[in-house]
Amino acid sequence: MVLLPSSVPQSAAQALPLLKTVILLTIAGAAIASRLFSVARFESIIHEFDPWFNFRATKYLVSHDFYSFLDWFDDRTWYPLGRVTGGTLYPGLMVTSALIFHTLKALTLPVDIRNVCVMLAPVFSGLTAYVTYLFTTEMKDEGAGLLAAAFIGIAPGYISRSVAGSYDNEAIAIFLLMLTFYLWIKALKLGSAFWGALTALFYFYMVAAWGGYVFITNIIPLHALVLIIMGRYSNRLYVAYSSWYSLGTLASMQIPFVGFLPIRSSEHMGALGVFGLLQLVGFSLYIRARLPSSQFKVLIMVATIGLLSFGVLAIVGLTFTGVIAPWTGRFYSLWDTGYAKIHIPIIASVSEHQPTAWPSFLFDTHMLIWLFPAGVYLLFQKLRDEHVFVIIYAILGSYFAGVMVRLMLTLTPVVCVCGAVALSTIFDQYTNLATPETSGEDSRDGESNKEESSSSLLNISGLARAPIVGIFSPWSRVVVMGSFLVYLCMFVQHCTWVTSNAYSSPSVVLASQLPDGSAHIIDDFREAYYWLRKNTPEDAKIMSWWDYGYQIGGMADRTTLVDNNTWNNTHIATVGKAMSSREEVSYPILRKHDVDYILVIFGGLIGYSGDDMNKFLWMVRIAEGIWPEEVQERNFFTPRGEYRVDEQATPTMRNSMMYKMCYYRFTELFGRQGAVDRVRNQRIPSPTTDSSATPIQLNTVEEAFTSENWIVRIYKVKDLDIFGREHAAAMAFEEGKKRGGRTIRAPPSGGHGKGKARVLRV
Amino acid sequence: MTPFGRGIIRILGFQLLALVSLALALSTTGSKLLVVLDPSINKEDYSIFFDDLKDRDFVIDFRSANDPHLSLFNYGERAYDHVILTLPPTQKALGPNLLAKPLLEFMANGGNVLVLVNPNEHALGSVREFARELDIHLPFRDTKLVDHFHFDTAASPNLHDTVILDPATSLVAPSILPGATRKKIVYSGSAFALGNNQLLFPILRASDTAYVYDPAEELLASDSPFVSGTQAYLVAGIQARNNARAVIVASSSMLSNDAIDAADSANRELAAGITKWTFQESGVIKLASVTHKLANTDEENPQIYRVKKNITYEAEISEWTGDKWVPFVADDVQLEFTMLDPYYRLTLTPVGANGDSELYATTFQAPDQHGMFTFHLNYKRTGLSYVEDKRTVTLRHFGHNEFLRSFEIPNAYPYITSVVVVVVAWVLFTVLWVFSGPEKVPEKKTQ
Repeated sequence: MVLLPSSVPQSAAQALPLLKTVILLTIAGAAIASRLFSVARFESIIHEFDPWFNFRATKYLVSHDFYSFLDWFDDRTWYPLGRVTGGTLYPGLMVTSALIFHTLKALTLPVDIRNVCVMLAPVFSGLTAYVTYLFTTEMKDEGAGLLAAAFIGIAPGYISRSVAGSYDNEAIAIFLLMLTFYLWIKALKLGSAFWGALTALFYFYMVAAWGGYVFITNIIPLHALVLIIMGRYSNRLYVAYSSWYSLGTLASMQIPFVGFLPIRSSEHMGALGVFGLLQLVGFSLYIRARLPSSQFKVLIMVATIGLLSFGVLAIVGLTFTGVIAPWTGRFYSLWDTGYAKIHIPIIASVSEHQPTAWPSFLFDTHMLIWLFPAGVYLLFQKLRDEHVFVIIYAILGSYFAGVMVRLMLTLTPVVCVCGAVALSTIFDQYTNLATPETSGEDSRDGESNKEESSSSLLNISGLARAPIVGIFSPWSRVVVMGSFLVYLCMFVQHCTWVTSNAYSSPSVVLASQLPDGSAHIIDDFREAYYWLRKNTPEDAKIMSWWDYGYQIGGMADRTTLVDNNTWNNTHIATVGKAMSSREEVSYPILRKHDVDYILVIFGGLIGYSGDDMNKFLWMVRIAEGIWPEEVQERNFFTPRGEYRVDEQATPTMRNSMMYKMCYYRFTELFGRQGAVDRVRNQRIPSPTTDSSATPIQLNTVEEAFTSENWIVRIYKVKDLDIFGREHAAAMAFEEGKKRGGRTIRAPPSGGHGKGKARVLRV
Repeated sequence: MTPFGRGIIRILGFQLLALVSLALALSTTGSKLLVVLDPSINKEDYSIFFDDLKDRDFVIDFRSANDPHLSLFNYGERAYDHVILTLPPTQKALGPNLLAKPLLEFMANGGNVLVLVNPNEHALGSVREFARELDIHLPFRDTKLVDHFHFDTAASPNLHDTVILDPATSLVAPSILPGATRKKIVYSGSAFALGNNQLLFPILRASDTAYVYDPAEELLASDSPFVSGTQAYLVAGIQARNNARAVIVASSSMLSNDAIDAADSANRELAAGITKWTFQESGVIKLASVTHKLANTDEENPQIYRVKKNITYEAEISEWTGDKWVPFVADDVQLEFTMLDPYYRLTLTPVGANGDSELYATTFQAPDQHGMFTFHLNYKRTGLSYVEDKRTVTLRHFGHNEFLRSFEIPNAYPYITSVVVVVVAWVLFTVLWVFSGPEKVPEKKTQ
């Protein structure tokens, strides 16, 4: 497992590169294979939500040329605003897939673009494993590198975003992240402008691929800054940083979505500041070489104070005048976890933006999470320049992973690296069979230790001669090594189990088990989306909560009002208001937005908890943010502050569009025993069991489609009544109900059912 | 022959007749007219009215209200284009085929309905219900419209219930009775009230001094009459959103030979005007064509435009004169260019006749806002068919190569110059650096 290059015999040393290659290939194979659960279990399908947009964009790119992709104005989303899609996405992922697709086509290997997209993430995870190997090799040695590669290959924290079908930016971004870091370390070590330029190149690729590039934009300057403060300024640092920053920034500005952000937004100011600082430090060192030290001290004092205050004032001034964009809400929510909940419900409503629960650290990285601090400690022991980088990465990564669930992803690589360093150090120590001559002294330097113990690896006789107890006894080695081997086995077992059970569900297709244990596929989503595709006009506008926008666009190919690219809070709030208001209030909104169909997700029948009734409060909150007078969260709770949908539900709740559409005719499914919502475990008032309950009546929309398990329900928005009646009145007439009271004595009041004052005609 | 077979033959023959007469029809929607007559009503009393209709090429099918084979639909299709309902006083209802629901469905399918309420009897349940759905509220049974100031002294010297109306004040919709006429309208019957329905088209109302008198309530009625004054309507119509029309005449006697023959009466012209409007002979306009395109180009109706481009919108509208389509000229036709709210509301200018329609056009610059915009032509005027047309197009943003190049912008010259200067200076510096060579002290440069 552990390679000790210097200690192996000559013939083995020649076979070493081959062995390494084989190991790396095996690791890559394992990384890819463990991500194929979903394909094996379900099918080759795009997962979840965002991947559907990426898939759609990729298809557009493949069927058009690159420039029309760049200028793409998408008129199928955010109706009627549309989206300047070409300018508001990170094109790296789509371009990568399109390149692979065209290359394969040129090689006369016609592959469906869907399969390219599905398999992209597993393939790149294999590459990530290789890059992590390179990165960790720079930190310690190749043994640690191989361990890290194996860890990152199967660590659930990374697999969660890179199973087959999870066609998201993160799929290639982690590879690019690690590659950029590796190149940066390389550039720093060598002080080479070439490697710096390579860093910039892949930094550019990263910018093109994922919004998380800001992490790199800040961690490299931070590294440089820490090195300067530690007094480790060197020409290598100067060359590496300057070439990376200048080239990388210019390159990143070529991405339309990024544009002038690198010189205008606060998140990028750190990199610029460190760049300036490096010039100053370099210049001051140059001056120092030419000036007497007393004069230099004065100069440096004045210059430091002057420049520092000037810089701070300039940044503050530019921020206030708006030249530098102030920090965004997403940025604030990184520091104050409660910020989003108060100020930006739309960010807080996303489950992956929630703070991380501590078990998920163990869940996602298993034993690595406790090897991780040990690894960081070991890096502190040596503290070369590149170790500082990993330490900074470890600190930042841990913090951010604690703030947001989704940032677990950026923490995982450094956990793997540090875990590998720790574990390989342990192995180095314990596979070394020689007893140190100066016992009791901690072997600080692994390198020298190895050399001392050279050729003793195969010395089995040492085992017999050594004492039975004590730190250096063979048995303690066997116990430690054995337990770690058990840990490793458990790690593999855990990773496979987590991947198989937690991260391999496409969420478009749900799996459940029948009482006899056989698998049962719940395919309501696709059933409903294909119904839309086949039964509605090409230009029909579908209103749904934004979660399903991408899927409707991708699978049903219909125009949506809002989607997962939550760029317009007001528009989303409008949908929230239409969902949470009474029919009479929402109908004009629906008309104004030309809505033809409304789609709601309802899990009450089969107990699918991620449904719209459970997300309903977010709709209310987001709508309340814009219309605090008209939508009030308080009115949706019972007087005792409970969220109820049964007979205690508030009138506001019961009259809301969403409630009505979810539970419309729900009670008819149940006979005498009464209707029970299986998600919320509450009894829905049913006219068959409760005489006081009235069936839910929908006037302005009519049920168009309900899927097999009632998960998706689609309603058609009625046109205006052709005789100019109100919908409620027309419905009452259709159902044969007499208008309230005899209307013979019509005027002047009560003439028209609702007691509306009649207007005198002139 | 079975009754069923008879029915088939009758329908077939009727449809053949209808087919022949279609070419001659004066109505834009067809000439098959069903008249539901009560057996008690003497057709001869209305001979002038029906003869006038026949002269206008309507193929009239007179049927009794209690005819069991009477149906407005034939295999789900509309069996007639128009229906005249007279209310039978002798029967409780009009039969299952003439309930409010089939009547409304008939209209929803584009049929037109004219209801003549019998003056001697209360309106029956189904028609009352039908009218109420249209927001026309029929009066109590046996009520009468009386006017103690304008009445026919000969016909109702005591009760004052045959009232004389002056078209100049009572006719709400002058287009029904074209040509300035100072003649009178003779009316005997009750009056109804109108609700708030904005699709209603009031045609004839009572004079200021009239009110509805209920003999059953005697004096009390005059305290709070059902309707009174100009709020009492005698004839009112509705044009549904699909342009189907229905008119309710509060008294069929207004169209009887007696009323028409009365001295100086305008009832015959009024009857003609009402039936012409109801049966889509007058007040009918249509949108002949709509095109939008980039100004000064030929490609019609493209799906996508760019912001700030000039767009030309053209619409052709024709009007039906009773025998042919002619250009419809108006100065209030407007176009809205809408995304949620109208960005433009432009009055279309009539450019000139194009065949049998008038061409309206306007050219405007698209707003500097991308999105899905709708060309919304919404011309709705009382008494005229609704003309509405919505076309959604995409307004895209500037493409990456559609901006001005930097050298085309004079303001950019300083920047371009500075770039050039820096490049030249750098090259000069490099040349100097390379060829000057190390002279005295080899310096340790940071670069």
